[in-house]
Amino acid sequence: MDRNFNEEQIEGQLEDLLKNYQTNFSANFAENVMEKIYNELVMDSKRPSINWWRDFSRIVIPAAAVVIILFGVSFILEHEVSKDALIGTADLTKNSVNPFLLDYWTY
Amino acid sequence: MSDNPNSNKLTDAELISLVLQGNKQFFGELIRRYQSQVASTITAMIGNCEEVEDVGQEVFIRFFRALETFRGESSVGTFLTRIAINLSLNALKKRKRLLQRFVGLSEKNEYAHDAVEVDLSESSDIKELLERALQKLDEGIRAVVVMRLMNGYSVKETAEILNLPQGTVLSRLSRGQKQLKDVLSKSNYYG
Repeated sequence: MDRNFNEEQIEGQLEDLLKNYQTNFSANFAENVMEKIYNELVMDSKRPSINWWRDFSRIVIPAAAVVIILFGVSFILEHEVSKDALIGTADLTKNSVNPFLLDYWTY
Repeated sequence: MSDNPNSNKLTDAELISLVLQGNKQFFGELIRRYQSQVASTITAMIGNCEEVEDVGQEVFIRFFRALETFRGESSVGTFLTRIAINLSLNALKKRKRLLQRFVGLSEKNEYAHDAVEVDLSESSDIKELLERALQKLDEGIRAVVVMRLMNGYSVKETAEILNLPQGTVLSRLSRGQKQLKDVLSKSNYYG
């Protein structure tokens, strides 16, 4: 290219320079990208997929069932004590009597 | 890579369709078609450095991931350029953050300015000169110059791709051209 440009020529040449500006990646660029993509695909297929419903049904539902059963047993036990309390046979010196439940049953 | 010798005769849409059908090797042909455009865009945006190749790889990997949602509303070239510009801007932000961490901002600007002045006066290769002149532009202005002047997109397309009003594109373009002219006219190349 001619080295003796003046100011006016610079303006005209700038667009051409930018249009013709071209660079390239290394020769094996495409291979490298494809390799990364294949690796990613393999990794994706090996990665355990997240199945919310499966995880939910395996962990949360059994846990909830255990809590409900425990709560139910506890309630039944409290109920028994309260019944005793209601008919005046409960041993009120024992800490096992729930005073709130006792109030409820006596009310 | 694509082993099919006829793959270069297929259109972009046909190649994409084949890739989506499970023939992943046809994606190699898409890479070959657009790698030069993507490389030029990224190099103009972030300079000729090692990062260019990494950003380029990321551009094509993102494109691959987006293939299923790619509706062909824009051309593959435009789609890739958009990703390339966005990832280049991210790379520049990352670079700036790193620089700010290690060097004070004012100190860094001083060094950068000096470096460009020295390099431009010593550079004799027009390509190298242009790269350095582009690096001297503000990132926002540079993105507009790269899109409009280098990749040949219209003002409207540039505005859409960069998500800017057309008026902003025009003003940035004018400032970019003026700054490039100033920088190039000071260099030995235009002596």
